[in-house]
Amino acid sequence: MIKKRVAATVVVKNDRVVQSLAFKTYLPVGSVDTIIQNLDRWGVDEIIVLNIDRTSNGLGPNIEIVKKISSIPISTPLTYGGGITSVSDAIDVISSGAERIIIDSLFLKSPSDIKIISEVIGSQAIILSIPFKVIDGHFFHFNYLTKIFTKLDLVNIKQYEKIISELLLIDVDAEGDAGSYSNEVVEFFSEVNIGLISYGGVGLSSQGSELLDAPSVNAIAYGNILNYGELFFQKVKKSLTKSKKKLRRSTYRDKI
Amino acid sequence: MEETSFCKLCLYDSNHPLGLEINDEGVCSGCLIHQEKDNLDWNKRWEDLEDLIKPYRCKQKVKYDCIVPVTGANDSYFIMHLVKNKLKLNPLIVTYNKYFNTPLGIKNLANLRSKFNVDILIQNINPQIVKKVTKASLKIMGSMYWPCIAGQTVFPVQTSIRYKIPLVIWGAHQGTEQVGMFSHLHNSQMTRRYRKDHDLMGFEADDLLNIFNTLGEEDICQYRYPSDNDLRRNSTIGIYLSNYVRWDPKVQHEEMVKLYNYESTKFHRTFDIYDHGDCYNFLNIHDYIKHIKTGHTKVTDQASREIRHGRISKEEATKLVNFYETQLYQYDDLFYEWLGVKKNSFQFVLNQFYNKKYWLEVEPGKWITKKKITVVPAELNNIYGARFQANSSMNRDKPSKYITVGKGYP
Repeated sequence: MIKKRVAATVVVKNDRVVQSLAFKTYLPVGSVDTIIQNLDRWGVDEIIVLNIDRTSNGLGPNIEIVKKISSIPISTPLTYGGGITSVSDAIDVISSGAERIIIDSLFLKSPSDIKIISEVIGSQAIILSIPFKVIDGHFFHFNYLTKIFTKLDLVNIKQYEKIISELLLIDVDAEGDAGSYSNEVVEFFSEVNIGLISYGGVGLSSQGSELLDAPSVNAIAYGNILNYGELFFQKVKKSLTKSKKKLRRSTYRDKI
Repeated sequence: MEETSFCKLCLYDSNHPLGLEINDEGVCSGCLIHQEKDNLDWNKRWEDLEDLIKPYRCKQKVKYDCIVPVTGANDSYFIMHLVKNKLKLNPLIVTYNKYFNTPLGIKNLANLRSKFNVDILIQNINPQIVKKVTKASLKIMGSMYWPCIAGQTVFPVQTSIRYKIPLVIWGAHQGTEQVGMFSHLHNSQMTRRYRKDHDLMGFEADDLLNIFNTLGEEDICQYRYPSDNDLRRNSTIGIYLSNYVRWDPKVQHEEMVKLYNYESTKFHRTFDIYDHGDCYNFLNIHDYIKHIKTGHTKVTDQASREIRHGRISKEEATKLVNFYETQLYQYDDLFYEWLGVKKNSFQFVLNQFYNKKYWLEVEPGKWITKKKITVVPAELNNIYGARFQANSSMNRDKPSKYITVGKGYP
C-alpha cells in the first residue's frame, strides 16, 4: 500500500520564514535554511516551500532559495511554489533542486501554459494550488493577488487530471486556526480524479485522521504549528494515531 | 533586496535581527502581539499554566519538579518568584558560568539562592576551552558572546536529561516579546531550531568544527544540544512564563527589588538598570558588536518595550537611543586580558564585521555610523532616566575584575 504523506509547509516572505494567519497577518519565524534543516532531521515526508511575495512583486521564482536549500543538503523531497509564470521558470526551479513545483497564479492568468510545463517536466512534478473559502456551503477560489473570490469550477479543474499530479487545497480562513479546516472540500472535489493535499487549519485535531480516511487525500500539510515546539512534527504524527497504518513511522535521530 | 520599512509605533524597522513583519497599517508584528497583553484574560492564562505543569509535580517531594535557568540578573528573581512562591514548585536551578561575572551578579545570585532556598547547579566549563571557543566564534561570526549564549541555553536542557527532569521553565520568549514571533496563545516552547536560528546566530556547536580546524570535538561537546532521541526518551519540554503572565520587566523588577532586595546598576549604553548587571560585557563590547553587525542595540529593544507599555513617547525614546548608542563600551581591557589578546588584534577582527549598510569606514579601521542623529544629553534625565534609579552598582565598590565562581560570595 502506498503510504500517505505528512508534509511540512514553509511560508517564505522577504526571504525569511513567516507564520501566515488567514492570508492576512504575518509573523516572523526565522531563516529558511535552519528551519528546513530542522524539518529534514525530523523526517517529514515532504517540504513545501511557498514563497508568497514573488509574483506580487513581479519577481520570478526564488532560485537562490531553492539552490540554498538543495545545498544544505536535505534528503526530504522538496516542492517549491512562488513566482513560477513560465516554462523556463519551471525548468529553472526543477534544475535547481526541487522535485516538484506548485502553480498558483498561472492557473488564473495563463492556464494553457500549465499543459506546456507538464509536457516538459512531467505531470508528476506539478501541483496546482487552490486557496479556497466556503461561503454558505459554496466553494470559492481565492486569488491572493487581487483578493477576489470566484466560484470554483470543477469542470475546468477536471481538465487538468492528466496535466498535474495533485491539488493543494488551502483553507484561507482556517489558516492558523487549528481544527477549523473545511473537511467538506474533499467531498466537493470527489468528482475530480486528482490526489489532494489538505493544508491550512488542521493542527493537532481529529480532523487530520478524518481527512486521511478519504481515499482522494494523499497528504496533509502542516505549517505554523511545526514552529511551536520541539519535535512537533512527531507530535502531529501522534495526533494522527488513528491513521498510523497509512503513514510512515515517526523517526527520532540519535545523531546530534 | 527589501527596502527598509519602519514601524509607526515603536523604534523597530524591518532589518531587526530576529526578523520583523510590518503590516499594511504600518504596525510591526512586535507591537501587534504586544497588544494581546491588554486583551487576553490573564487569569485564564494562569489557569492554563497550572494545567500544563500539573503532570510534572512530584507528589513525594523527593525529586525536583522542574529546572529553572537563572543568572545574577535579568528576570531570574521574577521567574523564581512565580515558580517557587506562586506555582509552589520545587525547582533545581541551574546557571552557566560566563566567566565575565561582576560582583553585582555574584551578589544577586547568592541572594537569590538564599531568598528562594533552592539547590543550584553551576556549569563551569574549562576556562582554557572557553577561551579557545571564544576566539573561534570571534573569527567565524564576529561574536565574543557565542559561548555564553550557547552555554546558558544548552546547560538546562542537558541537565533535564542527565537528571531526568522533563520540565524546563524559562522566563520571557525574546522572539515573542521583541518582534511578535508567536502569539501568546500559540504557547510556544523551547526548540533547538530557535536556539540555533536566533540565539546562536545560525551556528550550533558542530558548525564551528566545519569551518576552522582549530577546534576539536572535545572543545565543543559541552555546547552540544541533546539529540532528538534523548529529548523524546526524557520527554523534555521547555515552556516560557511570558506566554501565561502579562510580562512587564520594569514593573516586575521593581517588585523584586522590594520583595527580595534585587540589586540594579546604571549602565553606560542604556537607561535600563535591571538586565545584564551580572556581566561586564553584555551591555558593553557585546552590545557594540551587535551594533556594528546589525545596526541594532539593546537600548533600542528596551526603549521600544517602554513605548509599547505606554510609559514613553516614540520621540522621547528616539532621543534616549540616539544618546546611548553613541556611548563607548567599558571594561574591554578586562576582556583582552582574560582572552590573552591585544586590543589591536581584537579591533582587527571586528573590522571585518562592520555592516556597510549602517557604517562608513572613513579611514582604515575608523568607522562612523550612517544614521543621522542629534544627541541632546541634557534632556535625558528629564525624559526617562529619572524613572530608572539604580540601587547598587556593577562593581559594588570593589575593583573591576572578573569574579571567580565556586568559592561563594567574598
